[in-house]
Amino acid sequence: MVIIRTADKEKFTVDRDVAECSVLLKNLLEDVGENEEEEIPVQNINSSVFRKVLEWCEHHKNDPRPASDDSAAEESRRRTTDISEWDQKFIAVDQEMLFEIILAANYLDIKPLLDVGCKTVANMIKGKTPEEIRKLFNITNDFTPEEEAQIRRENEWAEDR
Amino acid sequence: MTFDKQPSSKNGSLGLPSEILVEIFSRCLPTDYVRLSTHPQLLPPFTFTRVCPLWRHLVLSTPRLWSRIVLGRHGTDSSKELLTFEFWLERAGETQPLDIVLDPQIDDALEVLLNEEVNARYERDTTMLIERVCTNSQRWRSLVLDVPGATVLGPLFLTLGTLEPNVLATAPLLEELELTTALLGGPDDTRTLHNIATTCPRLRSLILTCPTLLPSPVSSHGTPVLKNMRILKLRFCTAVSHALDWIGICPNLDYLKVHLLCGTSEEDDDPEIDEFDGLDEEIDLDESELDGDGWVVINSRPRVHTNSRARGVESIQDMNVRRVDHLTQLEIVTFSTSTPVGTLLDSLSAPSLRSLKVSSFYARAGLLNTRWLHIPLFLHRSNMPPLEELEINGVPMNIDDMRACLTLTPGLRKLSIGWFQEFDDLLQEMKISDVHSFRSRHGHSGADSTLLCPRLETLNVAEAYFSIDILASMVFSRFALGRRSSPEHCELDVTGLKELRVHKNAKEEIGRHPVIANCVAESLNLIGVEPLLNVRVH
Repeated sequence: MVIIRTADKEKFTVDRDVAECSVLLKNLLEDVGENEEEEIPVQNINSSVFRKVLEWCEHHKNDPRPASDDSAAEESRRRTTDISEWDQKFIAVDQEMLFEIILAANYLDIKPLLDVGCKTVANMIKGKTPEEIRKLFNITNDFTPEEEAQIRRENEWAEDR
Repeated sequence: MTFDKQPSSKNGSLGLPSEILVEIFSRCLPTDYVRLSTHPQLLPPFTFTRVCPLWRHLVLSTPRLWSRIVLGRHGTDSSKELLTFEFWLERAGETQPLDIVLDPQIDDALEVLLNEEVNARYERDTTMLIERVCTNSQRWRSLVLDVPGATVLGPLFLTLGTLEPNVLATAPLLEELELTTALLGGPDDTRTLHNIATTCPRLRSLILTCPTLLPSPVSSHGTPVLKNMRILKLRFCTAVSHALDWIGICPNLDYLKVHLLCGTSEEDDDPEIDEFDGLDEEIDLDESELDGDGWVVINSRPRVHTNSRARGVESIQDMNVRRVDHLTQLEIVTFSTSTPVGTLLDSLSAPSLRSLKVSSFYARAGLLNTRWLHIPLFLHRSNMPPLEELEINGVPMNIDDMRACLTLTPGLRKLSIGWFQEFDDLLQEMKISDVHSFRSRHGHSGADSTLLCPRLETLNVAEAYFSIDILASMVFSRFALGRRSSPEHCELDVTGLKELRVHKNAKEEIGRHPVIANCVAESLNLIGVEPLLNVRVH
């Protein structure tokens, strides 16, 4: 077991094989060695998000770990937008939590979880017009008049392409 | 085209770093099919350039979002495609490796073929387009050209065929090449690709539907070897020797698919007699039935050759077996009974094979009750490879041959059999009633017996002709046995059936069978699938 302390000072006692889903934690644990008393701090993640991340790691702890240098596998993951049923249920959270999970997965270096998060956002975006995307993520249309004019010109130019 | 300066506002960042936003963008890119049917302005990455300044900046400054160039939306009007190509090429920057697809959505193929004026315009414009595509060959990562006629491929042949001393590889990054021609014909160039080992040193996937494109087994520079080649698909291969030439220069293949389109049986020689001898002892074959060529019908024997044994021996002396050590997937598709698929199998040895699929579009051949030992002999010659998946459709084997196959593949997890005359008998043999009856049939020790497919998890009968009661009985025995955990059952070491695949139109009827319904209620996965051919249930 290892002890992990989140940004809001909450401590989590976690199975080593669960924690090692994270490349960052795995490397930190190697530095710590067998000292189970030592707390591992994760500065950028609060407890509510970390709890969700642990839930994912617990479920996927026996999955084969992606090789860090397998670019073909990474390209293959990028091309597919399929998400397993369990992951779909896991990631059915509000937007704020979704983006927090993505940030946490990125910080902790959990590629498959980052993958699930990116796919989920991608699936939300697909098929939508720029206006619909702005509405979905509450993005302000703050193009300058010059940029608007440039976009119009591009549209006209590309119309027949 | 000007790229905007990076906007200072954080609007649109979603609180995520830019590299993650770009990662999300890259996963939104449409499929080739969608790109070919929709105006690009309505699709990512275009749409993202109009969301907000941040997204616009990120999309326009990320060449890899523009590096897959799909052409063909304008059909055979290649002049418009040339403009599209230039536009995308500009956004893809100057160094990003390119994935290029030219797949014209043709509804005027006949017009292109028959109308001289249309054909001339098509050939001129498409040749020009391909010439332009070829000027970027140093950046190709993948290239898919699907064109009506092979004549327009001239510039490509020239590019790939260029081999001059001290000249660097023409396509040094090219990993995937696919060439398809809808219409036969074109340049009578059997040596076009003989230089690709040098011009495309990283090529790992080659898909050819061009009957005229053949490797030259020997060139002035020696026999070419494509050591990086992992995937080879040859469609409409007109001679087994052509397939063998390709296999000969691709020693590290992982996946091989061959569509044999051969109208003659000149190469369909008998399997090696010596091989039969060894196999007979193992699988209890009746040697008296082993005469004749690959398609002998036992009952009426319409094609038995009186000197077939002698002819077989003669052929063996010339037979040069290709050992493809790394091959894990082999798929052979045939179109007629005269296709010498047996000759191809007889010429191969694949000790690492995990998946074997042999299908005939002439499905009724599978209902012939004949001896056809090419598959078991291939497996035997390959030292019983660790096969996990076997698919046999429309192949004229009898139950002895099929039993031989399954005996030689004890690690099989997926089995698909279609258009097989004696399928009910096979199902009966695969049924395991209980431990005691199993032992009485196969001997006291399960380990020494010849239980067929002890690891079977998925059975596909979507193409098969069977009695539903017999199927249900077999399925139940396998499904139930795998769910028991008594020491006696553990001793048998049998994996339970988990998935039954049936014709989608028969799924409801099969699912209503009380025995199958019970299994499904327990956890058996019953899946309806689209068959390649057809099905009848009786």
